[in-house]
Amino acid sequence: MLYKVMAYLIKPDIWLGAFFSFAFPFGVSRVFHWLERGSRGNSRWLGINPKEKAQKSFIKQEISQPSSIPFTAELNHNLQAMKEIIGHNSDVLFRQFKAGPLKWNAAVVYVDGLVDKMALVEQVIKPLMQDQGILNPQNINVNALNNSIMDSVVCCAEVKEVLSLDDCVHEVLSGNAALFMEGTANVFILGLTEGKERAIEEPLTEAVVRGPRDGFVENLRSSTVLLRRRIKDPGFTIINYTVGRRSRTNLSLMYIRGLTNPELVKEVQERVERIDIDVILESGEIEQLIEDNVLSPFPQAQNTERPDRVVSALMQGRVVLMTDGTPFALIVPVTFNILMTSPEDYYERWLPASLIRILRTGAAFIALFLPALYIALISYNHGLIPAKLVISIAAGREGVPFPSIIEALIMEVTLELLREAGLRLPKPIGQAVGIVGGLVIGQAAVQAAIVSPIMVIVVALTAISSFAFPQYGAGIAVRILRFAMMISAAVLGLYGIILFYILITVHLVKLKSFGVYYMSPFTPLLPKDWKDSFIRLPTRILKRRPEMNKAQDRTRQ
Amino acid sequence: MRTDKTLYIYTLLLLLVFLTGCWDRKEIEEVGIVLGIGLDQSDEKESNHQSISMLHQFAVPKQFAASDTGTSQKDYINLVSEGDTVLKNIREMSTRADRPPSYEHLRIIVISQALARDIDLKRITNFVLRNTDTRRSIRVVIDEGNAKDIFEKRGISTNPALLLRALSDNYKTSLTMPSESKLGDISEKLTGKTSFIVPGVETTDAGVKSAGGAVIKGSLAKMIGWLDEEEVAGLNILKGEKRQNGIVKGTDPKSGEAIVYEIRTIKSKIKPKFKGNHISFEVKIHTVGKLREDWVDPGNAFKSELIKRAEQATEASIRESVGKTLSKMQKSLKVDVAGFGTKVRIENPRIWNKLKEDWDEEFSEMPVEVKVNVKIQEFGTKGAKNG
Repeated sequence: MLYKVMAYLIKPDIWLGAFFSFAFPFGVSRVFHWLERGSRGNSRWLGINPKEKAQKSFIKQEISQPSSIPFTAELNHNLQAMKEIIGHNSDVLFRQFKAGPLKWNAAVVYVDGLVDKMALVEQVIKPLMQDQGILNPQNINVNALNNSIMDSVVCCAEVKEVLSLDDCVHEVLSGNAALFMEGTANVFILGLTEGKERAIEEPLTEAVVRGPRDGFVENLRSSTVLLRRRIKDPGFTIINYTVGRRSRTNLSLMYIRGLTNPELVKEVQERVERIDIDVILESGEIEQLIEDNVLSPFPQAQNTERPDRVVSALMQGRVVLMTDGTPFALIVPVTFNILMTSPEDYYERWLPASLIRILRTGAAFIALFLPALYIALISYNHGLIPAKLVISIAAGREGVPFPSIIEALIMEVTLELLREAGLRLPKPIGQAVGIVGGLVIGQAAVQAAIVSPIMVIVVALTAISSFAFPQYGAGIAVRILRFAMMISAAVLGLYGIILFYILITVHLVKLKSFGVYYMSPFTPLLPKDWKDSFIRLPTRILKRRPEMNKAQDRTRQ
Repeated sequence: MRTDKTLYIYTLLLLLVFLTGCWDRKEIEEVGIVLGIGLDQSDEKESNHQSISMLHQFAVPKQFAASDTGTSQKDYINLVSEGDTVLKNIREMSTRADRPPSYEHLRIIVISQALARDIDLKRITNFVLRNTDTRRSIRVVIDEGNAKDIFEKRGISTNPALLLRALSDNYKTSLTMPSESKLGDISEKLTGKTSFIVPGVETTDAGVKSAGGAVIKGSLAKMIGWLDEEEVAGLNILKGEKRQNGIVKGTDPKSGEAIVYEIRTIKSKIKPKFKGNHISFEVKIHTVGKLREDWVDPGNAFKSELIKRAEQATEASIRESVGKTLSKMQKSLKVDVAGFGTKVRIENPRIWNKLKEDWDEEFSEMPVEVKVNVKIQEFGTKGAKNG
């Protein structure tokens, strides 16, 4: 017995096998650790700084701008300083005038087009010029006058004082008017912003049959209005941030005080404060800068144009980030389950809603597996197909010169090309692309015996299934994985599919989005949240908020 | 930087995995799909061994797909090889078929009567069972004539192998066909030295026809005789096998006219009785069904008297048919294919251990008493024929 074991020990192939069975998984984990560490620590990727570097507050992240010089009491000096910084712009206007009988020197500075000129004249310039009561020569105390101007002369709703030059410049460039008065170092910022904006329209990316038809717009304030109208809870909190060193984009962080887990809010705040980049154009950039795992194909923040979806997320105890200049709001944390739901699931009755959810799950599986299964069954595991089907598939593939993986890749790449082309082209031409593509894929490729007819069915089904995702981001993730799945099916058949599926599952189970496991409520097991997962139970049964978000206030009904 | 270098080496090692390529890949259109295998006795004698002639029926996929447009070309090709072992035949096959045979979709194995009587069936089925491609659920039938001929007979729209498979799966609707025999079951019974029957088929001018059952004697692993269709019906009743619409024709005791009974459910209970070393059996058959046809004049099914007569007639007919089967089993073939032995084994293992070596012979001496109970549940939508 022992001798036999010893005989095994001296065989070199045993040792080789042992080495590989250890080195392969170990190597995989080392390589991924290395990539991940690179993404975090050594700032190999742009954006997130290591924590110690980001300790300084966001407001101090200035570049090449003059430091915060305080204003002086001299009007001309202040205006000169302003002109030095922004005076070269043709759209920055300096309007100097004399106020009241006092003939007090004053000036307003504003950006043409960003400020409501009518309001500026009616509420600021006219009252100051024509005032007879307060601004008369008897009052000479400058500070008292300053206060009374704001109290009794200027009748504008939003007023604040700034002391430093760069604050003032920032406010002017943000679309406010700055009022300078001779003899005081205080500058009044008058909120008279008026910008051209898009009307509220139905969101294009998330259409519903039943549900509200309004969508966010590019203007942050107009978008938050849509939320305020829906939540009258005083706990609804909006915190403003300015991100982007040069763009100075407004970013609003929203949550419901007393409901949302404060640790989650703190985590999001920290991550947002850590952002150090020159310009933010879209919330997608924020998403990429604050997400947990850069290498994952799965989106770790949900984006939406729908205010009802945002409200529902807030009520689940999640945090929302909205960026000025884009209609897309970011919702964190997100789970795989949430990406598979549509707001309509809650508006429809529970039976149809559950049915549609199951359908969507099925579509997700088809979109991920079908081409890979085709390859595996055609190239390796014929025995699993019913006998008559095998013969008819074989008949269809008769004369096709490529192995099934090449055939599938040709078709899938064509499909992705068509989708991309149709997306980028203007709508009328996009349809033409669809028709041409349909003919090329459906008819010509089969007749030319480049692909088999059954492949066309597979591709069509896959395409339709991948459109059934309620979230575009999740759909893209599955599209990427589908190609990887096809390749693993081509290398190892059904066994390869299973291996790759295990790989995806391991990744998903490990993935976290802002402290919440991506596969919750399945792993970790939260059976109470299952009421709203593959199926949605009646609204009367959904009495508690999801446990995974650890909301402070758990009860809904 | 050292760690980076080792990691590059790891990455390269991972890429090694892809060097293996797709070594098991075989595209669906590049294999020959074998639908049926036929085994015949060969005319040529090779050395002192019995030579086997083996027929492979390959599907021709293109013709399968085109079958609805009405082509006259066959959707199959039959390739025949000769050799003293099955494997040798299969080796020979790759020298004449352009595509390597794939047995994953093998539907049926046909063994000719002559071969089954001559060669140990274990040797024939051995290769197919050891082959990893094949399923244990492949149906096996025994052909009265030549397996070569039967693989040329096409069905209504199917090819010969599929026709044979469909035919062997038809047993549920007929009392005169034995249950399907799967390759796995056969192997199990051959190893256990139990006797059993395999469905028989025969070639007619019109096509293929089911023809009773071939009796395989477990201890010899060879075929020893046939049960004709009526005897198979008796056997099925004896085993109490559920058949959807088995028909039993009886004779009315009063008028002598025919009465036809259709089985709905049938149950049989074989009970061994032990008296010292003497074993006898009691078989209780209970069946419920409907009256399907009566030639009795006036046959008024509203009268319970006619129903009773019909039940009696059916009982007599069943008893006669079971008796015929039993006498064939015990007297002429001396074999137990109805599972009497299993009952003895369950009831009294000690006696069974003594008898099992030549159970078939012992069984042929044992008295069997058959009790039949027929109950007519309904007679359709017409009671009396007149009025």
